[in-house]
Amino acid sequence: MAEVRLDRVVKRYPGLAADAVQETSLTFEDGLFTCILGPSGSGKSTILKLLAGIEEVTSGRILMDGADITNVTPERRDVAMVFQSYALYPNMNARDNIAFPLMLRGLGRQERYRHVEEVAEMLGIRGLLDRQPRALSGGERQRVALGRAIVRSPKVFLLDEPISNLDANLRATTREELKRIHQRLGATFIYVTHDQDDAEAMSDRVVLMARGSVQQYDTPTAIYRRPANRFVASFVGRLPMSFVRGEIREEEGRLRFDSGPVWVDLAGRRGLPAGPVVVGVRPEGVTISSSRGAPMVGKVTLTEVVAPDLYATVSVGDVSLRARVPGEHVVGVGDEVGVTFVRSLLHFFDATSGERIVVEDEPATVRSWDVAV
Amino acid sequence: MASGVATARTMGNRFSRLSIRRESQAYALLFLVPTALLFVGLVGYPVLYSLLLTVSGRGAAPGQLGAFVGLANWARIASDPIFSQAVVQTLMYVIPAAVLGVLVGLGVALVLNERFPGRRIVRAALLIPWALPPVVVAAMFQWFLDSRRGLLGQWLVNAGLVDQSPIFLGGVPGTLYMLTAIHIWKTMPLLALMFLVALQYLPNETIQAARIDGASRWRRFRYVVLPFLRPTIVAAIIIQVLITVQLFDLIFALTGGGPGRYSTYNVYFYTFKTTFEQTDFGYGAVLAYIVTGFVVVLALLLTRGRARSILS
Repeated sequence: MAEVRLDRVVKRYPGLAADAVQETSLTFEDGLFTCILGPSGSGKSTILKLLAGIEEVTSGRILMDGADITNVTPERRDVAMVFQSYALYPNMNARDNIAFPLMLRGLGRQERYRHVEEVAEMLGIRGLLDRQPRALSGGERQRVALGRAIVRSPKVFLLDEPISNLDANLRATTREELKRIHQRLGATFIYVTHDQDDAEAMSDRVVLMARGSVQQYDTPTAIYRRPANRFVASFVGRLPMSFVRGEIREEEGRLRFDSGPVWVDLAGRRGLPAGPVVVGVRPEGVTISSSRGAPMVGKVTLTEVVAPDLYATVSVGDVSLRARVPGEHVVGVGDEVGVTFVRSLLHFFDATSGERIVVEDEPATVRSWDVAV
Repeated sequence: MASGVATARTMGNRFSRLSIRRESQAYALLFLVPTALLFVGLVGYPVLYSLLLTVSGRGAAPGQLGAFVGLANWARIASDPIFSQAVVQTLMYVIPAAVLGVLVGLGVALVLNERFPGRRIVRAALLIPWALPPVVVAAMFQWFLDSRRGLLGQWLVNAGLVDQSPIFLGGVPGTLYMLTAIHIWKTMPLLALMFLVALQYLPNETIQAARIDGASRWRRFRYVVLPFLRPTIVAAIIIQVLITVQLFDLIFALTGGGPGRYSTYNVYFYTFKTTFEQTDFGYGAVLAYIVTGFVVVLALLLTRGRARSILS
């Protein structure tokens, strides 16, 4: 069990203009399951390699439980890693693959194999221990790789997209299993993924990265509910958030968001400055109803089914909004519908920087990555 | 309709009347014929003719079949001291060439598999000895090792290791070892290249995983890299033995079999001398059969081993 901390870490590869990891300070809390989430090229795997020690930092420090391990070789760091490719040793059967770290630590054969049996039991692979890696399926290899990490009982587990090569059903069950294993071991898990479902299903914390820098560090719920900027808002969520560029005005003492055909009465929302702004809204924040008597009317241009829900894209003037259609309604392309917003589900972003405009009644986010060491 | 089909049939070439399977077999035969003819002419005929030579006495002219002498030529092997000497010396070439050649090749491959500046150039330069024609290699070393004007002798003198340049190609069995060393120098790139190719197939992540698991450099080599290379090592040893059994050009060009009369002979070179210099075609054919038999067995080992590793 350990807390791992990045202190002003920078990673630059020679010959590349942009830093793979821009100056980052970040604390992976002891015993928590933290997902590093981001698109490819965001620097998430680089951070994992830096933590493992197979890449060296360009500047900055890495601390484990307060001890500086920046210059400690991977052999001597107490971390285990599961690779996306599983990286099993091709000439050893599953048993010896799992036993390998124990052999290196000088444990006798009998004791090694006893530990392997325990771990194999936990992962449900006791029947596969005599097989060579090439005789195992992807899911089985993934388990062997996981076993090889667990058997060491390390302080920190590093997982690099370990389930992205599995089929959808197996992915779902493996997520549950990983969560269970994490709860049982209580170790610090750092899990790199580009799949937000992984982050939602397993993690206590999410580090959302883009272009080499941390965009938000928070709980999965907060990332979804209070995205720190437009990038996070559009990256997270099964269907993209709709953005509307407009202006906040005060009229007769009431705040109002206005964007041509689309407008929202913001009475009661405090802390919003008047001026240009981008409003973001997820499908569940847009309600559609009968067009009769509705203050805002639009036309359905597209419908999509994401079971169990139906989603409709509605054009209001030149603004496109995606809405979740309530269960009892049926809409088709071309229908005229009334549109209203759920005011508590609106997000406001600075029109130029794209940063979230924090409304006064919102709870603060975790943001422990801001805290300097 | 029916007559139309019949016309198409009679108009088509002969093959179109056959079923698809028969037709593809017919094509296969057609394409195999030239190769088969070449094989029969260039391999089958000499093999049979030399078999006849082994049971014939001296003919009217060199290479012609003489009177039938039964197994008399074969029986000479048992009492021929030069043959036994050539067999021993063949082993003196083959064993160091296989052991040292493979070890050095493996070492060079491991170094060239690491990242360092200029690696591409070094990798390309590695191939030079293998790419040089044997005659050039021989000439080069003749100059290099010359006792009066050779560079190596000069270097040793300059370094103060010896007072006077030693004679490199004069001693027994030193000359044979010198030839073996040159042979290893020339063949090592091929072996190194084999290992280098094999190493490319070992994923970097597997090595990284071993590091994270706590394996030192030596243990990564011992438990991960070496087992992975085992099939390649076996293949490299067999190939090196095959090449070395057939070592001829260096002996021919550098020593002509000497110093002394036979001190750098191997069986292959002895075969050449017997057949083409003493024009004893009967006994030469026997020797050729022995070398060929050995080579064929090794080649079979190699290809069968390959087939097994591909299947598994």
